Order: sequence, then C-alpha cells, then structure tokens
Amino acid sequence: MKQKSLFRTIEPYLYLVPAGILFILFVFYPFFNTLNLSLARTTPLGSVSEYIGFTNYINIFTDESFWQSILVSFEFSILMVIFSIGIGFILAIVSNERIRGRGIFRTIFSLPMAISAAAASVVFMFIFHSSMGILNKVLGTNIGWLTDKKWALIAVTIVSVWMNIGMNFIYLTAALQSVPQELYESASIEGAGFFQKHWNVTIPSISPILFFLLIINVINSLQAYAQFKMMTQGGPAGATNVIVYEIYQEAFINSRFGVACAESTVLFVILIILTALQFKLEKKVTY
Amino acid sequence: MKNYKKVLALLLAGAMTASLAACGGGGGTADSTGGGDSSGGDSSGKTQITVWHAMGGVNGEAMQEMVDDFNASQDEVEVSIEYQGTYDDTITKLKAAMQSGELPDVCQMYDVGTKFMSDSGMIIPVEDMFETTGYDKSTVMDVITSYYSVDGKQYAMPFNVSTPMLYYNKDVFEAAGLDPDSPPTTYEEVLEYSKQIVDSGAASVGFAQAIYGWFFEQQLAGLGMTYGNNDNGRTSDMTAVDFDSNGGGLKIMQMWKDLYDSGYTANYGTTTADTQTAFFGGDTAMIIESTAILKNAIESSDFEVGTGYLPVIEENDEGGVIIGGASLWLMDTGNEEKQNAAWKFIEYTTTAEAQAKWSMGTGYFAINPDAYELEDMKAYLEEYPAFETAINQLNDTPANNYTAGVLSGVQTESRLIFNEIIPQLYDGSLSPQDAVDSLASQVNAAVENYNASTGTE
Repeated sequence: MKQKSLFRTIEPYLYLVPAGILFILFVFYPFFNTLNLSLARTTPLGSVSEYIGFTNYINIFTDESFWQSILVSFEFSILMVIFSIGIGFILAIVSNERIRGRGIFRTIFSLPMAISAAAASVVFMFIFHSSMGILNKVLGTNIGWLTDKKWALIAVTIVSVWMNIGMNFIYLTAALQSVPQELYESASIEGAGFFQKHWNVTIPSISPILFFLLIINVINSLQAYAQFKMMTQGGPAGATNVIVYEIYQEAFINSRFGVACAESTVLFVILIILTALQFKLEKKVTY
Repeated sequence: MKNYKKVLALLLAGAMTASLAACGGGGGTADSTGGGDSSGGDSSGKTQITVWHAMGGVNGEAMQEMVDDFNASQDEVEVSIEYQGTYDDTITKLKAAMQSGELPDVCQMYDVGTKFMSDSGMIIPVEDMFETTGYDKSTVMDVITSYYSVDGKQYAMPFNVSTPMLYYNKDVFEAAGLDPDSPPTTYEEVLEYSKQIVDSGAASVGFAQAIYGWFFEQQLAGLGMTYGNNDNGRTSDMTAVDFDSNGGGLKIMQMWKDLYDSGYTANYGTTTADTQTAFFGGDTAMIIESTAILKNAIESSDFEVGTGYLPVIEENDEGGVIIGGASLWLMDTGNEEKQNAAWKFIEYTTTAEAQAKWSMGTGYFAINPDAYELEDMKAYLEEYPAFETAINQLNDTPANNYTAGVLSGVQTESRLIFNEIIPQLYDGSLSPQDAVDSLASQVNAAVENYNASTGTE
C-alpha cells in the first residue's frame, strides 16, 4: 500500500521528465551558459578566456551603437506591428464581405507566408536596386533604397510587413468568422454604418486575437534577422542594425561571444518588461 | 477563457526563453556534415573526404568540375564538396564546426582568415606533408606561397588567387568618344572619364565600387603603405593600425569622398553583387571588382568587357596589388587516413592541368606557372585578352610586406567596421580625417581585444 502511494506521488513528475530533459537541454542550459559567458572575455572559438565581471555590460551600455541598435529595433517593431496588423485587418474585413472570388483573394493575401524570408529578400533586392530596380523606374526617382540611411529601414520594413501580413490575415479572418452575426444584425437595426459596425462590434469581439497578434508580432519583429542579413547587413552605417543582428555580428563574425551574450541578456530583460506591460494592457481586453 | 490565458502565457514564456537560448546554443546548430564517421571508407574501398568551399555561381561549377576530374583520375579517394556561402559565411560556419568538433577534411579560407586559422590549433600546416609525400614546394610561385607562410613554414596551399582590377564597358567608352583600349590608370582619370561618359549620355553612372574593406587594403598596398604595425603583422603580431599615422588612410578617404561628391559615380552599398548588377546591365560604365568575376562578367553582359589595372591614387614603385584570394587548409581531424587522402586532393589542385582549367573557368590566376605553358591556356588567352590583365598585374607586383597584405586576427571585423564608416563619409557626417580616426580607433580596440583573448601581448 505504502509503496503504491509513493509511486502515486512520483508518477506525475515522471511524465514531466521527457519534456523536462528537453527544456533543460535546449532552454535552461543555454540560458545559464549565456549568463555565464556574458561575464567573460572569450577566445575566438567561444570558450572562456578570463572572467571580467560586468565589463561587457558596462561596455555595451556606454556604447552608442548598442543604444542605436535598440532604438532601430523598436522603430522597426512599432512600424511592423502597426502596418502588418493594420493591413492584415483591412484585408480580412474586405475579403470577409460576400464578394465573388473571395477564396482567390484569401489565397493571394495569405500567400506571402509561404515564402521564405531569404527568398523574399533576394527578390526585393532586385526591386530596390537603385539604378536597375523596378521601384525607382516606376516612381521615376533615384533613391538608394538600401544604401541611403533615411530609406534603408523603411525598405526592409516594407518587405517584412509584406511577409508578415499573411499570418495576421489568417488569424483575423478566422476571428471575424467567429463573431456572431446577430451582433451585426442588431447593429444594423440600430442604424450603424459600415465603419461604426466594425469599430463597435468587430474590434471588441476579436480583441483577444488582436492582443495575441500584438504580442506575437512584437516578439517576431524584435527577433527578425534573415531580411537584415540578406538585404543590408545592418548597414548603411548601422541604420538597420537591429539588436538581433548586432548580437549575431558580435558572436559569429567578431567572435566576441561574451559581449553577444551580455546583449542577449539585455534583450531578454527588455522582452520580459514588454510582455509584463502587455499583460497589464490585457486587462482591458473584452472576452 | 481562463485556459486561453494560460496557454498564451506559456507560449510567450517559451518564445522569450527561445530568444535568449539562441545565443548560448548557437554553436551547436551549424551544419555538422563534415567528417563525422571515423571509418573513412565506403563499400568500394575509397576514402571519403569532405571539402568546404565558398565558390558560388560560375566559379562553383568550375570547382565541381575540378573535383569530378580528381575523382575520375584515381580510385583511392572520393571527394565531395559542400558550398558554405560567402567567405564570411564560411569562416563563421567553420568556427561553429570547430566548437562542435565536426570538422571538414579540407576547408577553403580567404586570405584574411589566415591568422585565425593558424592560431586555431585545429589545422595541419601543409608543409608537414611535403617531405613524406615528396611534393615539390616550387610547384607554386614563391610570391604566392609567401602569403600563407609563418616563420618560413607554409601553412596552407594557395588555391584561388585573385586581385582587384578595373572592369569597363568598351561599348560605352566608344559611345562617349573615349578610346576603348586605354582604361584610366589613376583616379583623376577615372573621374575625368566618368564626367565624359555621363555628360555624353553614354551611361547614367561613370564609376562605382562596392563598400568593401578589401578595396581599402588594396589601395594602401597600391600606395606602398602598411595597414598595421610590425610590417603588416608579418614580423610579429600586429598590435595597432598604421594607416592613420602613415597618411595613407586619409589619402584614400579623401579620394573616395571626391569621387562620390562629383555626382558622376554611384554607391550601391556593401553587397558586391549589386554593383556587379549595375555594371552587367550597362548602367554603370566602370567598376572595381575581383578578377574572380571575370568569367561571370563576360557571360552576364551583352557588351564587350574591358579590363585594366586597379587605378592608383599616385604612382609608387613599392606598391602593387595584394596577392590575395583563398587557400586550402588541411584540417586536423585526427584521422590519418583521411588526412592523407585530403592531401592527395590538395596536391592535385596545384597541378598545371588542374590550375589551367580552373583559371580558364573562373578568371583566377593560375598559381602553377607551368599552367601558362599549356596549349589550351595559350589559345584561351588569345581569345580572351581580358584575362591577361590579371596575370600582368600580378607579375608587375613586387613581393614585399605591403603587397603581402595585413596578417590580422580581426580583419573580418575590421571590414565590418569599415562598412559602417564609409556611408557616413559619403553622407558628410564624417570628414575624411574623422573617418580615418574612427576606423583606426575601432580596429585598434578589436585588435587589443583579440590579442588579450588569445594571450598575445
């Protein structure tokens, strides 16, 4: 009897072991290793050469280019969230109307999701090319989309928004379909127009999904990497050097793993704070 | 809805930790396809070896052809090659492979990776193989092997030797009333020609070059000046840069700024392919590029491609181009059978036949002078005289510490720093002097950190 009850106590933990091992191996171990390395100077191969306390942190906090990276990341993130959710929302509403060929539109709108970031970047590099690119030809301008400090971030953002709309579009389309039709009917009876209906009925009804997308988009955009690596390598003059690319450069190109780990830790703290703020905001979400 | 909240919280926690884990765990995620198995042979009894390389496009095809020829030429070794992306990508992946211990048997590494490789302790200097295999060291030209020698010992086998040169559009030159057979040799002439080309409407841009630190190093060599102290890091480890104190850096920055401000040139950024595209498309009349893209340039453009020496800022007898490119490194995998097999392949790449074919397929300089005595090669040079520029330019270059280029463990990083400085030079936020100072102080900091981490004082 006694043995059996002991087993009962352990039993649930045994079920957790497989997941636990995976977590320890792929999340916790790297996490603590990151903290460890962030306090060290590392050899070009990434092993600890000597512990130097908080020097890496002091260095990055006094380094202007690190702050610029954070600033660029936030700029990119804000633009991404506003435009990719905004445009996705508009497309979802439009294609939710009873129009001919709705299925075709929906397929087209969600298609960019199926294209890899690297492939999309290569195509857009041709489009943005300052003398051979179609964009300058169509606009009749001579802008260095990827080589001008003023435009580079905007250009990369355009590509990223385009790539990201698909996912938002699918979530929002699904959400729209779950809004009860009665609400729209009663709104119509009360004389609400197209915009009033969506403002007063649609948005509150799908607010949980909007909130979910907000968080996912913020995290995704703060972690964006491929398009920066492909299109600008953080340039020109750091104008598109987002924090994740900065970390990549420090670790794998400059071989300063200690600095890179310190930067990752800072990014981690920023993401925690952001998420906490968003959950505060979540209290306003209606269910 | 309570449940939904919980799931959401879990998702977010997962996403957050994953972002952090990406740094610490990065080393293990790289390709680990290299010589993992220790048996070293397959059913046919051949020794399998893996070669990492950074040759894309036309050059990648030529590389595959060389390997196929080698595999067909004997029945002991079977080489398979794996493309790793650009040179920068290759060194990045090799670093990851060194951490995980899954090394390829042979790795192609660009010139500025030499110091990192010889410091890594994971390679076998090729000279160690010379005696036992009876390889004749004089097969490859001295001026070239000297680049890869440390204290007189040859560490790597030069493979593809390239230098920068001027590419120009002969059709545009003709349309602009310029002599299509005499390209500009100084930057003053480059500017003059650009003016004539743009003003006559023959092309919309006269001249362009990618923002690439290699060109800065090349211009210093052209001036007969060093990049770093201790004779470019060749007499002992480099501890600081020289280009700020010897005045070379300022001359180059000033020249680039003048070219850019003239309005007759263009800046297509740090991606060299974008500058090439502008040239291939006929939009830009002159570019500076590696001799390695010659074959590609001839095939990709529908006009006649002309080539000239890399223009200079001012004439200098000591100056020339840096004998760069990339070399093959024999990795220390601990498997002697594979190492011997890998050496056989490396030895094959130096033969006159292999080098001639390679040179004709790419535009790279043949490192074995005998290659130029072969009938095929002679006929080829007659057909494509543009190839001769590269050969002559290298032959005209004196072998000294200026043209050997800098031996530094942080040159990859230095070039990244360079990439950030130049756009600021162009847009006026840094004066040429500020650009030199900023580049020098950042590179010095990187050098200091490198030397501290590897224990060099």
